[in-house]
Amino acid sequence: MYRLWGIIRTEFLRRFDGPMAWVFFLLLPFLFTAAVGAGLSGMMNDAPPEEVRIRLAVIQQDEGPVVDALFAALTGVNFDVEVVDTFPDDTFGLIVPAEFSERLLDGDEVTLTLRIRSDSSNTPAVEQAVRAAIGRVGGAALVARAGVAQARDANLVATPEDEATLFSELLLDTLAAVETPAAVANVVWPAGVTLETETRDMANSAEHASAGQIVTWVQITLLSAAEVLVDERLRGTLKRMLVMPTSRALILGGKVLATVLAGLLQIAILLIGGAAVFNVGWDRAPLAVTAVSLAFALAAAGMGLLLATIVKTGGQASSAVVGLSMTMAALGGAWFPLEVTPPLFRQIVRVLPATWAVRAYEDILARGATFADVLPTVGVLLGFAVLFTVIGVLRFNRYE
Amino acid sequence: MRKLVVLAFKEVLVAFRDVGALLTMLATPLALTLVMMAAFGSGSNSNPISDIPVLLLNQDAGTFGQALTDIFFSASVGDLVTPTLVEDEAAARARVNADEVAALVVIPEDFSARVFPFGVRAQTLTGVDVTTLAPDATLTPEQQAGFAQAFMESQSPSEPVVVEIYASPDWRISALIVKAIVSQGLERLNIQIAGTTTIVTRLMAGMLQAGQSDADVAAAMRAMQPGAAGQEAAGGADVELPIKLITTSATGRGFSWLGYYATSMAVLFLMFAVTAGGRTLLAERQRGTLPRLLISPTPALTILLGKMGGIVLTGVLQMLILWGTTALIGAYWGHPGGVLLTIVLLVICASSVGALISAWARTPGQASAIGSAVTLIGGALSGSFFVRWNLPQWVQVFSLVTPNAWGIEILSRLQAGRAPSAILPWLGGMILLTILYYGVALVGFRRQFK
Repeated sequence: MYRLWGIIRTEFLRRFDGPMAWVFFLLLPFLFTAAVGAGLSGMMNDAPPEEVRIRLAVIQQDEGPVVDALFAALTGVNFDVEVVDTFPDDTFGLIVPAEFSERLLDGDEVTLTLRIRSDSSNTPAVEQAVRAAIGRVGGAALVARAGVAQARDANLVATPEDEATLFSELLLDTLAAVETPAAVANVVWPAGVTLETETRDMANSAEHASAGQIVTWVQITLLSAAEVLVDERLRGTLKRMLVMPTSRALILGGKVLATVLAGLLQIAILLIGGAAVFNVGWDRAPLAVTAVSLAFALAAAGMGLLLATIVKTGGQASSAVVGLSMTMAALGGAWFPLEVTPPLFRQIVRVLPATWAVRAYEDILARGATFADVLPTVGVLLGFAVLFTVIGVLRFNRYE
Repeated sequence: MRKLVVLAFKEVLVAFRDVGALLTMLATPLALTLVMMAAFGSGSNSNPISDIPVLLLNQDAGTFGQALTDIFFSASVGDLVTPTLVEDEAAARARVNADEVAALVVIPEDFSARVFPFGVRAQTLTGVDVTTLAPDATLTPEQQAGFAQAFMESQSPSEPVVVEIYASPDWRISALIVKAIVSQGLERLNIQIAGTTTIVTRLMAGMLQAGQSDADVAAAMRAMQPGAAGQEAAGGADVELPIKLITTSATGRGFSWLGYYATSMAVLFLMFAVTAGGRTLLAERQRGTLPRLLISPTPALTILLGKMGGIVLTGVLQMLILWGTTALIGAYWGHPGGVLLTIVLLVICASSVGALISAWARTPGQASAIGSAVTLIGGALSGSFFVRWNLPQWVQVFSLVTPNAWGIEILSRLQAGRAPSAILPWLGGMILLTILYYGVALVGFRRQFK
């Protein structure tokens, strides 16, 4: 036991031998959680922050009454409308053609031109928002035109000027009245699901980011068991240890255990930090979180042991740890929800521990999963741990 | 010059013979680009989500519930959803609970009557069914009064009727898409109701003011029915709106996820490679090969330039290989001349960060750790992992202290179809950054290798 503790203590001292270790251990995971949370906020949250507004340059070739209604509708879908003579390079632009209002009154079609930014991923969202605005104005125009026709049939309008006035009034009255909708849509989650929070504008994406980044960065920490073992092997210290009167299992177990403890320490700090800084509900099921974390740590450390028997140099180990960790995390849904991927993709990535860990963490956060609920996933992760460790030990014994 | 070339090529050979370096330089960025392509698609407007399984439970017997249901089967929604009509609410909710489907849309009983209460109220008060009221029907004074009362009562503000979207948390993004579709249908419905009410108010007022006949007022009342004025605006799911929209771009090209991630991952892993390359100078000193080189009849500047030249050459080759391989899977990087010029200047700029770290770090290990940290922080702030333009404005500006940000900005412009001349100011900015970093690195080198 004393020897085991000595190995663990040495590994810890080596791991945290300078400030840079803490950069990878803490600073980068938190920075990435914030960045990924911000990056996903528009995709996963129901109510994006009010201040997210998009500048829309408009070349206005018509001064009619419908244009003002269109501008109001565009403002209502989070555009900052700015009338310009020519489009600046870095903005979305809209051309409102001459006779826009007049043609709508006459019952003719009219075409607006949206100039998109080729370098912006916001194009589909911008196009959708513009379509929503013109849908509202276009619908109101249809209604107003029908009203003018009925008024004409009832001999309530006599001249084209009367018709134009009535059209404008009906259009504006309709747009004003629709602000008090007769029906609305509301998303309801099954009982126990805790997506609705006081800070819901960030909660969903922050939860996903927190779970995903824990898996990403802890995986790097745990796979780095490979770097430690390869380093010892190359320096010859491992061979020296193996010829000493200490069991091979104790040496190997101590090194892997030290890595697992480092990973668990990192998970604990990131869980507390995620709850404190990003308001992530990690406290909803502490036992379930602990079980998943422990099982994932063992699975990833086992993978690190296996990796140590595959790579030959320190450089290879270092590159493989970063490359594999990031790729497996991305594949496993740590960077973006797997929901956006094709069904076959979702099936294939089930061979990765990261996929199961992210899934289990999200079940705890979003579905209120309890310890009993996550037990099957914990079982799968422990299965990975046994598989990787057994293969790793067999290869290690052959190697050394 | 020959010595310089020999030193540079030796660096390139060392890099390309190292399996670990190849993993970092080529395999990982390619793998991540493919992952991103699988997730987000490769097209300019590709929607990664389609065929969302959704159940529709229409408990309403009226027209509006049917109109809302029809939206899900319309061409405008296309293959975004796979809708199924259901009647058993408990079974449908169980399927959502089991995550078999993304959501269940519940259109409540009497939905039509509640969103448009005039018809029901008028029938209660007058016994007349407005939906079958003939245009030439004559209304008694009592019926007219009843209609007027029904109209007034139906105008009183009431809570909006809620269409429930019972959604699975496994399908959070899909649930928001289903909500957007329902909201789109309700928007049309709300316009119809608001518009029809507005029209009838105006017509009734006008007719009564003009002293017109009962039959005309009855005709106005018919406008309140679903299917009369404003019906076009909401009734049909694929109603042709009078305002059309066409999209254009200044360059004729749209945004491409594949293109974006191909370049941003290439830039990220270029940074990994060049910062690791810079570390070799310190490693040579530690191994004693650098002092041996310095006592040879070769100027120190030649040795330094040779090593840095090798790192730059390696970086250029890395970028060219990534450009070629990602182009094979459909990534467009931009005008070849502009891309080539950008790659060369970007690699030199990135190497300045490697030089800076090498010049001020004490050991190869320290340089390696700082290099990786700087690369990852730069990547997170510049938009290597998420689209740069979704990051806060201050982050976008601040990140211009990194070559990553300049690389993504310039290559995105080229991908957007801009001419090489359009990126010259950006290249100028990147050159200034390079000069600044190499200047500071030079001070460090003089201090460290004097």
